[in-house]
Amino acid sequence: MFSLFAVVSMVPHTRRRFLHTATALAGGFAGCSRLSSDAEQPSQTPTESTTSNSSTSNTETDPPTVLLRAGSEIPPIRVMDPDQETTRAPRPERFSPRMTHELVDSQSKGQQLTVAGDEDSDTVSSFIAETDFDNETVYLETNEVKECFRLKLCHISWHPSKIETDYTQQLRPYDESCTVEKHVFESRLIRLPVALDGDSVNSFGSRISGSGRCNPTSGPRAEGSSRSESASTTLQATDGGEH
Amino acid sequence: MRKRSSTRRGFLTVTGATLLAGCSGLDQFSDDSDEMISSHRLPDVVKNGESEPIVVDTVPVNIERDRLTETVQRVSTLLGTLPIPFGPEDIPNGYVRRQLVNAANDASAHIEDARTASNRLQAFQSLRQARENARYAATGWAFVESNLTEETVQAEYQQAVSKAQSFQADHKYIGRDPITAALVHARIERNLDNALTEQSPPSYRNSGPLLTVAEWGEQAESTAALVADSRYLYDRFTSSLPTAAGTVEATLRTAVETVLSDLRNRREELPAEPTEDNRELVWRLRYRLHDAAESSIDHISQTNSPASALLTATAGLMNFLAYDRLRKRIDDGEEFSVEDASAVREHRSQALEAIRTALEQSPRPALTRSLLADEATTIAFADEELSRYRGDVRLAQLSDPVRRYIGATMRARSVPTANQQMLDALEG
Repeated sequence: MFSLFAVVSMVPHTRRRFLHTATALAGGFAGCSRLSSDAEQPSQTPTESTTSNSSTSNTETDPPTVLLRAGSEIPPIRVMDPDQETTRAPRPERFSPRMTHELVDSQSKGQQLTVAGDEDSDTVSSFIAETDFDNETVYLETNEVKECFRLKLCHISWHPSKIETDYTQQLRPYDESCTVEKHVFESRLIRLPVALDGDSVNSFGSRISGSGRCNPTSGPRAEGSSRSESASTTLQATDGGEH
Repeated sequence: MRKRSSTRRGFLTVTGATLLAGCSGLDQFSDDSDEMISSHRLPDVVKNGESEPIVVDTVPVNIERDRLTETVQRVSTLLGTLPIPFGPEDIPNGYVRRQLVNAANDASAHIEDARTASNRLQAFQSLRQARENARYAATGWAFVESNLTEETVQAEYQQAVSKAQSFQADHKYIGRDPITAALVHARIERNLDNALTEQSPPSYRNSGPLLTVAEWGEQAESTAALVADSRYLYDRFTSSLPTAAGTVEATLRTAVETVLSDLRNRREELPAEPTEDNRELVWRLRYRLHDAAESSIDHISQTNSPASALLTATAGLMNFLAYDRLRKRIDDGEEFSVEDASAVREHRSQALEAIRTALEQSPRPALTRSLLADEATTIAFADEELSRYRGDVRLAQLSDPVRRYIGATMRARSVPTANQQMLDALEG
């Protein structure tokens, strides 16, 4: 069993506020046909991690990260299934098909990553190669976002059996070309300063708020609970599938 | 939903129009109660997703056509700053571009609303909204075109706020007839309150700099328009009075105190309502009308502005009378049950008739028009609720709109007496 947390923003009252608001879970996967030209530069600046109140849970607000963004039909970073010898998209969550995840806990697992785009492939390969899997883990998460917006990671928290991410959705600059109706994928490789066992981590959650700002007072959810805030509603679901 | 053009041509063609109607056929009550053509045998009275109230508010000031035309020109000037066509080469971000285009189209739609408004106050208000929307679009574009900064627009907004504060501080309740004066001054009070309510920055800041500037522009325009419209109403009204006209403030405050004291006494006599959650229609009616009557006291006492307080006090009288009326009906054996669609139709017809009759029977209809406009809006809201039902509808689903119809009936039938009681209070 694993629990899945997903977030949808409440529909605001006014026209513009409706349009401003994050619609992280609205609509299905878009049929994007090309790789976006605005994939962002990898962000690999490590920062000090901050420890939450829980003795078994840790949080970072700016972990070393590789972010790739693509308007294609499949996420820009995926995992190659060695048994099937095909490239597969990360497992779509039963209750939140717009968020997928994988835990990369070894160099060999890292070798299974495949990337759309040669230049980006080198970046990903380097990121994996530079990871000390005896002391670190890489978490791959892909989210769908409207093309005119982007996600900012507010924090990621981890626990021996659980990983949670918290994002806020931000409007892209007015002079960047995008189409209202289109969606893109944002895949992130996030390096965690802890060696997690992929077989033990069985709970994943992601929150996306529409405020555009990270709430400095928000921390990771307590075990077995969900957090809510004014601009968002937290949905919790469980999935009986293996992980 | 209002049909809106999504093209640049849409908002240009409308803003080119200067012919403002407004004002024909006030109080043209439509009675389509004989029709029952809904597939579910419910009243089918909603056109294009909206139901028009049968009474709308007005103000005893002769708003000049030239004043309306000037505002249309202001809107046209603002929209005229936008490039033609307005496309991705102007603002590549489709979301941001759509916000500005939507605002421009909303401005055009409000001008269209003004052209078809049933009176000049409604046109006046629609045009103010048109200004706000047009300014949003124009300011957003000015950020791109001329590097307009947030600080510049904020400063403009602060100037408008200062004017509103000065006006409010100097507001004198000039008038001769206290009711007429209250109606004019209450609208000025409301405008200035609105102008001064939102002094904080735009609440939603996930906008990026362009849309944030646009929001400030809208807010600056809104505040300036509220002050200007208030000044216009004030000047038009006071200039229509004899030079020796004094102020009515003391008269208004005394009348409000008299009514407040009376209602406090009546509150002591209100029976306690059951507190358990009961979904029955009659219980919910009792609960809501009881609550409205009881909370009227606080509403009146918390309204510091004398003209608005007089209108709030009149509403309080109405609420107490409506609750008494409902209790009497229940005591007489009325169950307010809804057993078929014809009962829904009947309740709606009664509500409409109650509004018509109240307007005719009120000793000073002008005082009660805003109350009846609220009830007419309640009916329109219930109409729209009914219009959303599809297929088979359970009777229990109809309790909300039916409750609104019955509540509107009770209140509207209480309006003439409330009107008279307020007149008595004014006469001391």
